[in-house]
Amino acid sequence: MKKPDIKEIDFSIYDVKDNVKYEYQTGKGLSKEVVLEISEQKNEPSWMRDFRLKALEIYQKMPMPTWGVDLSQLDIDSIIAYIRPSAKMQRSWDEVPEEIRRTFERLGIPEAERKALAGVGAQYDSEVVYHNIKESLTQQGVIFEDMDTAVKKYPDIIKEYFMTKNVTPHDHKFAALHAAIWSGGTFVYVPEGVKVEVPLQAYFRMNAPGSGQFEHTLIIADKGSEVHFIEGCSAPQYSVSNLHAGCVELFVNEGARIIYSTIENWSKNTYNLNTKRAIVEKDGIIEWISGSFGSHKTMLYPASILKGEGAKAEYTGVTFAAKGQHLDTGSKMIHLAPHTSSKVLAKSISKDGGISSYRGLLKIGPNAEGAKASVQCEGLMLDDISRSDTMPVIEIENDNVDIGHEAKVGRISDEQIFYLMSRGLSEDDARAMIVRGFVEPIAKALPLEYAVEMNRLIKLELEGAIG
Amino acid sequence: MRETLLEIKDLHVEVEDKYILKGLNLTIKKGEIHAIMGPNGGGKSTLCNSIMGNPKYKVTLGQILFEGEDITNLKVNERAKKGIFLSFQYPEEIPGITVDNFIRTSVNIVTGQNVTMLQFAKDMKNTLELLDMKSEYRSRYLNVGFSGGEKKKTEILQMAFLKPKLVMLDEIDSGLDIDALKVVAEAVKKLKTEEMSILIVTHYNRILDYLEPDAISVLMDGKIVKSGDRDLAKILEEKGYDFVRNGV
Amino acid sequence: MWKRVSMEEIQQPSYKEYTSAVIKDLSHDTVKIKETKKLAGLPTEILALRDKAFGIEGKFINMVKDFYNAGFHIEISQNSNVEKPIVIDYITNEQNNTLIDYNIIEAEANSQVTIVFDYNSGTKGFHNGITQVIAKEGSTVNIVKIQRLGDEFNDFDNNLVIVGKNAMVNWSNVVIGSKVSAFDVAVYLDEVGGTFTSKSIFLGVDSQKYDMAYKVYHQAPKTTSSVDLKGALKGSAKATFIGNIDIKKGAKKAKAEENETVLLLDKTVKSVAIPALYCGEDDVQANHSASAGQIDEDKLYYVMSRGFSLEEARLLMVQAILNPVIDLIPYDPVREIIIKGHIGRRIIK
Ligand SMILES: Nc1ncnc2c1ncn2[C@@H]1O[C@H](COP(=O)(O)OP(=O)(O)O)[C@@H](O)[C@H]1O
Ligand SMILES: [Mg+2]
Repeated sequence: MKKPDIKEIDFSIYDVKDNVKYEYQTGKGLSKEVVLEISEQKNEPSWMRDFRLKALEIYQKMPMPTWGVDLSQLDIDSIIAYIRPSAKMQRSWDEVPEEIRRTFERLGIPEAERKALAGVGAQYDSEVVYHNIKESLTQQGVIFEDMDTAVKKYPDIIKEYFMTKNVTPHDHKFAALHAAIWSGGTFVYVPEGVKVEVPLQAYFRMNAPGSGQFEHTLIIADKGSEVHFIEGCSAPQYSVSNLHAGCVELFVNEGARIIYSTIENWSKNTYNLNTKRAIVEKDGIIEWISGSFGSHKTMLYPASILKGEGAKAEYTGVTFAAKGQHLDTGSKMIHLAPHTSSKVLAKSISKDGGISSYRGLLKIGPNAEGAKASVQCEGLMLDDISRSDTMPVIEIENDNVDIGHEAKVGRISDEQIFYLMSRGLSEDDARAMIVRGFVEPIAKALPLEYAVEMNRLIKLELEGAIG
Repeated sequence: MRETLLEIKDLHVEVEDKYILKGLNLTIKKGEIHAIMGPNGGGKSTLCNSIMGNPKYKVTLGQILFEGEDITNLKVNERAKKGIFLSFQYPEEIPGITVDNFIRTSVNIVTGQNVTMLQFAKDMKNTLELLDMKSEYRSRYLNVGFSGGEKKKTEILQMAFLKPKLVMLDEIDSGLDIDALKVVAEAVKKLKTEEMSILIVTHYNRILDYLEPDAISVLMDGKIVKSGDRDLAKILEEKGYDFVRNGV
Repeated sequence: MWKRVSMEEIQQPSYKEYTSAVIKDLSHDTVKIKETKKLAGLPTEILALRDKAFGIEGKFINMVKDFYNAGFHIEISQNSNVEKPIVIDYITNEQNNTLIDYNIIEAEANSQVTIVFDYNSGTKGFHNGITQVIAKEGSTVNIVKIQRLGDEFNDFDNNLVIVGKNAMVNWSNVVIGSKVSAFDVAVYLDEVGGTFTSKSIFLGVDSQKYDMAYKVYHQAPKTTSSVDLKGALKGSAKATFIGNIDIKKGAKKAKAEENETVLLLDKTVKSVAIPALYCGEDDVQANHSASAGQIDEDKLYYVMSRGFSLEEARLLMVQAILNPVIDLIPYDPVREIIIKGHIGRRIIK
């Protein structure tokens, strides 16, 4: 596959702050009143309101996590839980308010939709402002709907699946928080045997300072179906912290396949505490592709529960931590059935005092006869003031397995730099080329436009143009 | 009399606090093929690295002149742009970057102009054929998992695209089987233009039979201790370096 | 994320005397050996180590410090090369079934010594000990710890190793005994050029539970560490391996390597590996790997084609993993035969 050259582009696109009018926002902080207000504003059915209230109780009882990144500076009580732009959800970009449309145009979303996507959802702060899918997919029975609409339109399915059997509010404090105040996101259902050839995309944009985004993504891929879902995230830089605590629940049914790609570029003051999990049935496949570039602090460990015989999971990720960032990422692979297999390739880059950590769990349960798993972690240190930590846990409760784990940390060798410079490259270009080569396995797994986007972000990080 | 391309005057070089080159003098004319021979550890690779500008190799005294200009303190990539090329004794592996991507980037930098895709593809096809390499190498990561011989061929592939004025071949013939050696030597011969000079470091006569050097110099203990014509290599092969050491 | 064996899980012994340690008299004038019980106080160098974290859990350390009933203080004088290994034989039996040992090894500059700790025999009992090793500039200290206590033992072993400038400590654990066995080796490479290597093995059968940790702190330039642990698990045995490599900022040109290989011989075994790598310096080479699986079928087939039964072939493959370390142990061949025999019986059983 040929890749176009990376064009010089204006990196400031991510940082444009819009002057958008907000129609409604809750006060700062979290209380029963706030939760009730959100539910009321959304005009939700009572079961969802009750679910939220129960989750709030769980949230209030749960302790903050004591491991991972330092969250002592995160003041949830100063975060605006819900903030709605004065825009109704639209199915045509022309009807999206100009200010907001321009933001998404700068980010290239409508253009990408025309060229390479089967459906797009665009969320602006708490609400989805645009959601559309190609007619041909609707005809095949594919559902691609914003989550708030889905709650009303498909109450039976949502009630059955929404944070009940995959991620639940009991999992950890931020899952409970999410359950209480979630807003926006996407619901996808792909019927049996339908293969969605072109990716679906959701783009999440936080614009308001001091706000939180809590979108919920639920994808059900029925037997033998296939879908590629892409998630992009960004926000402009403010002096007050933003909080992103999204939740992704994937159901990969028998023989189905979901590819879930994320290019995350939250502003460098965002706390990104995200929960993603896939339950994979017999012969199903989940592939996570993850590029983490932005945020102040991230805790993100996509989990794959390999529940059915022969289920497969792959996690391919790159994490780039620069100045002021602590990105704690990784993966969880839980093998519960025979002949399941998983593969992790986690790369990290640390620069200008950034801390990148890989935290992983590989668990082979007693029923996972013949399981195969491999984990490979590579840390690249670009200077001596940064950190790279690797903390895997490997738990095996079966003998008929084939497990390998490898990790290494190092820097770019002087010899490599000299070799490239002897072919004319400047030292900076030589470094950039080696870094690009380092993340190539991830770029290769992404569709073209997104690989280019990722390379842009890497270039941006290497130049230290932001943060 | 042909013009001088490279002139090395009283060169002293240290690597990792080890004193290796101890007052080396060498002149290479435009278009000349000059072979450097000498025992292992004598400093042949050190000389190549010093000419290329490896920052690990510290010039403590002396000068390197290229086309009359003092390049002793020039950065390695600047030297590359001036037309100096080193085929490494041990080429580096660059994971994730394909041969194609790498060579195209490097050509654009060194020549300062963008080669068209079409032209590049054409040149690539021809050069791969010349080197008896399969076209699938284009999409492989540079030198990763290549055999010794494949790495050496890839060095010549790069040389073909960069069209340097001075080519240094540091033991290009080690790690090559007889057929590959023939392919590589003939490719170099074909790529050599009237203007191009070649400095070839080798232990063997076989490659010299192909390339027919104009001059042979023996590097020992950090100095050129003897120079001569093609016949010198034959004598060395017969009598070994002791012949030079004993000062006959 | 992972909980280690804790004091609460096991039955606490009541205090008892222990008198059956045997240390081979070396009558070597460059080695000073004293029983730690008889020391007037701990040596100042040991007291200076107070803020070095080590041990399985604070409670185990405190217990030894307050109640030790055995142990030796061994000093090797400067420049001396002690050729014959010093063997400390901690024999247990019905009377001597509660062993709480506190051992201190001080190797002065440029000395060389090998010390073998053999915790053995008995059937039922308790062991909890501390071993502190100070290897001063240019010294080489080889430590071998054999744990082949009886099947009803609870065994805990806390180790602190301080490696001086250009000094080298070579470590080896052979773990085959006890019901519950936990050890922790904390290694501080505090000065330039220090090296720590460990080649260790374990064999867990029936319901044996092992908890093994190596924590290596690289705090100075050009320090090197290599930790290699190989083992096999059978029956419903369970093993936890914690391997921390912690490279502090400033430890330029540090090299660290860590490897764990586990052979899983039965469906009911449990294996946990946590090989963490913390790195705050860029000019380093650090890697770790862990692998687990069954005996390679092609190898089994090959061996069986030469007439071995399946059981014999399996034993051979386990031995192939464990023997290289046992063969390295520099002490009398009788012990070697005993240990190999012991391993054989445990696998065939
Ligand atoms: N990068 C280096 N680091 C340390 N020593 C080096 C390095 N390069 C060369 N040397 C030493 O310099 C001497 C000359 O080496 P070299 O130039 O490679 O010899 P030759 O190519 O003639 O065999 C040898 O002793 C070699 O060990
Ligand atoms: Mg050489």
